[in-house]
Amino acid sequence: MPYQEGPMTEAMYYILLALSKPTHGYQLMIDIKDISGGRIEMGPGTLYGVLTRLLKENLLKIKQDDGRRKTYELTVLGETALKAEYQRLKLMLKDGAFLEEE
Amino acid sequence: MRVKKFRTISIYEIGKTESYLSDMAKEGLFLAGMSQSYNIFKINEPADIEYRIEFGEKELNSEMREMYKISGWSYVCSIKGIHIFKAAASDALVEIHTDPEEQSYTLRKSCKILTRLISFEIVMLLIVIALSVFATMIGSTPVLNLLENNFIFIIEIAFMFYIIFEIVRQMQTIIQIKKRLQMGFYINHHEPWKRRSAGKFVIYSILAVLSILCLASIASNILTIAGYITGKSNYALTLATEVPVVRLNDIEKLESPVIRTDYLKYSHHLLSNVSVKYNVFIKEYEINEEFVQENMAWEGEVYTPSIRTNYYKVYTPFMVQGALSDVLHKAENYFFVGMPDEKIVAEKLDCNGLDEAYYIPSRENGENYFGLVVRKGNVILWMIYMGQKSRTEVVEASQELFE
Repeated sequence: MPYQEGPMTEAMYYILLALSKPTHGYQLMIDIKDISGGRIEMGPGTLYGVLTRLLKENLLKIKQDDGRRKTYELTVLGETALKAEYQRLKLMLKDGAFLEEE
Repeated sequence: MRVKKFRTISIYEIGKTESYLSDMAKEGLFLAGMSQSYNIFKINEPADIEYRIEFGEKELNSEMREMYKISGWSYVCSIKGIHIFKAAASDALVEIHTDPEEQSYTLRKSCKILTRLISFEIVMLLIVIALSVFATMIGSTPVLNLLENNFIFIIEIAFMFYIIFEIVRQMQTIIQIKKRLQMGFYINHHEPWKRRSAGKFVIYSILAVLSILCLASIASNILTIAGYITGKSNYALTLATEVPVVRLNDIEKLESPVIRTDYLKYSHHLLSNVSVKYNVFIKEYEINEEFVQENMAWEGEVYTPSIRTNYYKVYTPFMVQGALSDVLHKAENYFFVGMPDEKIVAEKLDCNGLDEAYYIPSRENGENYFGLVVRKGNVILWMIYMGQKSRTEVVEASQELFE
């Protein structure tokens, strides 16, 4: 499914988030686990699927490819999309804030 | 040691195949490879292994393999761009797919491939149907053509329908799995696989019958060809040869008949010969017999009476009538040379001892050159007689034959 600035899947959001600094596939898995405080352990199939999809959508690009390992980084479009999604999630949280008070 | 097992669960039934492979491993059979229709297992100590089927990328690249390996999944084998991974079962094991929606995207390519395959198969089916109709209608004798060709066209079409049916089912399975994934449900990796439906049983039975027919057909063709080589399907006719037809001397009743044993001019065909053709549905003889009676004169020449008999034994009772009308059609056309308005029509005769009898006059010289088609039970004889005897003698000889 092409990304049309709609809501992202969780996997997509965390991959973009973890790619705030360029890194390679396996490190991404570790980073995502760290960022989410151990909550998310992303499967390699999901990770790889999202990476290929995001590359196709131009949200990512390959920074370096030494044949064995590829290092990914965000494109400008990727960064914008991530920020937009962050804003959306923030609004979502705000809208639900009353739940905390109950 | 290796064991080959026929694949009864389609690879597109992801959950079922995964749990099936897992159960096999518990019995000590470990998947080692897959061929078009077989799963190949290695025998080893039973173990608790999880298997996962991966769609998506056609070729596995090193990066992908490494990522899977580090997460505990090792590569087993691939078939048609579908990959199988395994890992020892444990609570700490990270699933290959942790996001159902993302996993649903990996099935898109397979859907496309299957759609393309279905359209291709449908086009092929239409071509085969058109060719079959054409081949069956050759000579306007469809029943005989079908019998002689072992219904091979119908069997072929049935097989193609089955293939399309199977692909459509796989497609349905994939679409269903995709929908469930999109709704956020994970694939059930331990889906029960042992259930057998009655529908499947019926389909497999039909397929088994069709396959047996196909094999029998191939076997009978080989036997017929082998018969031509060894001389069992095509041999010279002598007075002593036993054949289930009216012999020329049954009609002529000569004291010393002399059968012609020479070859037809410019060919290696004997003038008096027998050729046999048979398969699962029909047995056919074509028998030519000719006498040379040097001591008898007929119309100023040496008397050479002859009879050609086509013998058909039809093993499918409900097709006997159809075959008879096709034989009649052939018999009428045999003498037909001229314009459509000179069409020759068979004349039905009443004869005791025969189920049906037809007389087919030739255009010229009708008295001494004519055809006769008789049927008794599932045996049809088509005779073409030339000689000084009349149809009465030929009919009588036929009646005697079936007594």
